Amino acid sequence: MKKTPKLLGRLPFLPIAVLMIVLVIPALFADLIAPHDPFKAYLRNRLQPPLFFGGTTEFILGTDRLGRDILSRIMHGARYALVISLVGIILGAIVGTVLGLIAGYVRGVVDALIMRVVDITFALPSILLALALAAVSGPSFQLVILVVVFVIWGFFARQVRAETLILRERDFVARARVAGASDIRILRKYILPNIINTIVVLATLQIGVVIVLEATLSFLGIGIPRPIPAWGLLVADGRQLIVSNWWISFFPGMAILLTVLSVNMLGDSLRDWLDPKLRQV
Amino acid sequence: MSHPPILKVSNLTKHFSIPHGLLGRGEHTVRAVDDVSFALEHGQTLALVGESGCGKTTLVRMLLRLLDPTSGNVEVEGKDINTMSKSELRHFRTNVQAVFQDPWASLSPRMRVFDIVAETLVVNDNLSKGELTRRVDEALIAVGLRPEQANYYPHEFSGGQRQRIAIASAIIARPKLIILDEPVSALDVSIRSQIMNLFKDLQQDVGCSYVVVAHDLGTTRFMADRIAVMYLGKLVEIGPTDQMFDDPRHPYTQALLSAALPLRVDNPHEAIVLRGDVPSPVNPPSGCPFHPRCQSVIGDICKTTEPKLRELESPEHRMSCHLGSEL
Amino acid sequence: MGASVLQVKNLRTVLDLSSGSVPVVDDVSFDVGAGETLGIVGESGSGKSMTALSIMQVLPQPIGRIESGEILLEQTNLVGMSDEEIAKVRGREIGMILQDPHTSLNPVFTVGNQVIEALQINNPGTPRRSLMTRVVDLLKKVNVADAARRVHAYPHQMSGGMKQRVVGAIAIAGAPKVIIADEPTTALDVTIQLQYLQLLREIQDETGTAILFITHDLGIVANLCHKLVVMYGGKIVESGTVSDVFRAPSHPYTEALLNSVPSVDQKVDRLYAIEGQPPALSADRKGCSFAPRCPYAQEICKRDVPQQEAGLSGADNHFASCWNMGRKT
Repeated sequence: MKKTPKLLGRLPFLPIAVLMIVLVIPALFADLIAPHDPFKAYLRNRLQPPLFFGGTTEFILGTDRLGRDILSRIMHGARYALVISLVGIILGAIVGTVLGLIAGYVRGVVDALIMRVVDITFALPSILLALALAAVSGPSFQLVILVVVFVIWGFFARQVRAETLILRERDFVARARVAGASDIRILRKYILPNIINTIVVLATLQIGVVIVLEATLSFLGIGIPRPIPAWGLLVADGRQLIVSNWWISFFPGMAILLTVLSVNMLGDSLRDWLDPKLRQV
Repeated sequence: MSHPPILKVSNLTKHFSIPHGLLGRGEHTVRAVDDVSFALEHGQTLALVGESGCGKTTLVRMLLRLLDPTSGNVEVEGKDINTMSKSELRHFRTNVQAVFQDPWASLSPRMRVFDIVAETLVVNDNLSKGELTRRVDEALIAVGLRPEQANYYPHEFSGGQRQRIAIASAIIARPKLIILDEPVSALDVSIRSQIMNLFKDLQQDVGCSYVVVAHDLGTTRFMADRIAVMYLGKLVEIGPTDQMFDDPRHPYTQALLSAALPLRVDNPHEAIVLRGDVPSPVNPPSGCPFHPRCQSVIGDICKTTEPKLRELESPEHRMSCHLGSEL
Repeated sequence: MGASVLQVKNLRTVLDLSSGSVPVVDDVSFDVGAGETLGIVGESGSGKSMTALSIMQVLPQPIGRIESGEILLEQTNLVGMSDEEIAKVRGREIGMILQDPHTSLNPVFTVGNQVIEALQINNPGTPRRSLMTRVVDLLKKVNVADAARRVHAYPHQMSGGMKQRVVGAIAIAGAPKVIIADEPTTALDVTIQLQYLQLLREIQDETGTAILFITHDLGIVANLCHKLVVMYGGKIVESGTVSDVFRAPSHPYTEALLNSVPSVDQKVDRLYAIEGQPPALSADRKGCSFAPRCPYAQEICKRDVPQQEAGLSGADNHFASCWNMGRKT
């Protein structure tokens, strides 16, 4: 019997470490580890530069115009980045996977219909849609999730449909039919388990997209409402002072960059690891 | 009254339309299976032989009710499988099973052997967990595997063992008819005879019938009681195995059987080498579909008139060729 | 049958896997003369395809390498040649026909273009236009019907048998001294297989090329080949002329293999079955690799690798490697 290779041993250390430090640990323990209250304005310490740039150890990454600690704000912002990407991606993946499975399995008119809807969602500029929705209901957490789901479900639907089309012709599906398995059972027991890897990889790669999207929406003021320290808002805060007080935008920007980069690297190695063709030898 | 045969196929026909032309406005009709009739008695084995495009795969899919016929019907133990009630269909799904060619494609890589083997019973019968385990163990032992192997995944097995798993899952519900679609051609030579012996043993033990699709003629001779030869969707000859091998009557059967290269080196093997390729089923030749490659064309009648399947000396042995019909 | 064209001496090829260096071709020696067909018979993992890949030096990279031995094409040793040198040998002095005709041809070029490509390797600088008549001749030679029109066809417009003929035309375009055919008829229908084997025989009669025919089908070997090599677990277990080996198989594996194939001549009730599975790739092997499945196996078989014994069935070129040669009855 062959040994199953260990997942943990194969995944890259660096992206995981960066993600833990920048995203996951702050998101989970911001209340415990953040040096300051993210909302508290230390008015005497406004626009403090970071440590090594003339700052002090009290505000390692400096402070903003109101004297709020940037490090603490980034740490609390991680929470929103993580929650929005997780909730948005899970919802988007579920919607996309279900519709993709139906399209690929049923084929015909249903397939054509679902795929045209995907084409339309890809054609609609998501930022404009968000602007329109925000104009009606005002910026909110739910709105961001809605836009995220709208933007990403099509990627899942397309990929899942393509794989379902192939899998439904495989002999093991024919065997399941011969055994008398219902369509629902075939989808659930035979097709879905064989595409779950793809969904996981796709979801990982989408985290980057979603974090950038959320930051963009917040930056434009149609995402997470102030005064929540979402990363996009933090970048927006420093916009006017980017020349004189660069650190206000720079560090939240770095958090976004490092997270997206690590997530994408992780997604790539996850794909390689999960691809059985690359796993042999 | 005698029992109805386990399988009776009457005038079975399947046409596919394939779109044609740039915008898919034109349509071609492919007669994948054309007016095929035969019957199979309990405990017997019928081999379907023919080359690519002869329609044997389409035929098999109709026998398994994976594909609906354009016309004609398939009866299992006297019941038309396409007009069955829900409960009859449930019985059909346990009564007729299949083993496919490629043991790498026919087992879902994400299911444990236990779930793969148990599937037919899980779907159709309401058995207790203990009873289910007992039946899976029984099936695994019957195919020469160990019960504790039920916990492994398919990738942990070799090709021959995987085919044994597929066979275990086919026999677990004690079917009366098993369709074997090229069951050994993806296996190593030294494994094939193990699996073929296993099929024979199972048949002797439980008395099931087989329809076996094979392109290897040695396999056919070993497994089959009768052989049906197909060419471009049509049955061209059907008869008892020994008669077919010793005295093939249709020129295509003669060529096909002579293409099997025997393992002897003493006297050279005289094979009939056919001209040309198998024609496309989209645009089959007029008259007898075999006439452009036939070594025994007797005249214009072959090009103009399609020969009908007719009985030879015994009703058991039939063929469709003008040869000898003029007498 | 002339002098040796291709001579393989003590070839050892290994794959560097994470589990260690695994020999896939182990101390393999044989030779093929002009106008001669050598069959290499074995099942998956026997090393038959790895032997072919070693000769062509297209082993899977970066894990495959020839560890030792010589591959002599006439007098030139191919082992240790640079990539440029070996590229010149491939396609010019060695032609290759692989199993799957559908992947052997490039789908975006016409078959005529692909044959011209092969001709240009041998006639560098010749304008393509003037090679066109040669292309049509080559396609005619491999029995492509309506060759003058077919040169403009794309691979997807052809049947599998027709494509495999084109692959054959490409293989003989350089008038090679050796053609290596790796299961060339496995993907073809039986009546088409017969045509193809006849074609190979005709080409050989005409050009006197040597053919290395790799197959698992003993029926083909009996009808096409002059000599054969039986491989198991990376080693040659038996070799000799086809008539000697088929009449008097000396290694238990050869014997079992010949017995296990169902006969088309007569109906039998039971087939002779070799129990167990073919050996898996493994770095540490002891004794004869067939021992676990061998009905005659004894202690020594599991412990020590048997040496090759010559002069079986009265022929000095009939070899087998087995501890029990004299003992089994």
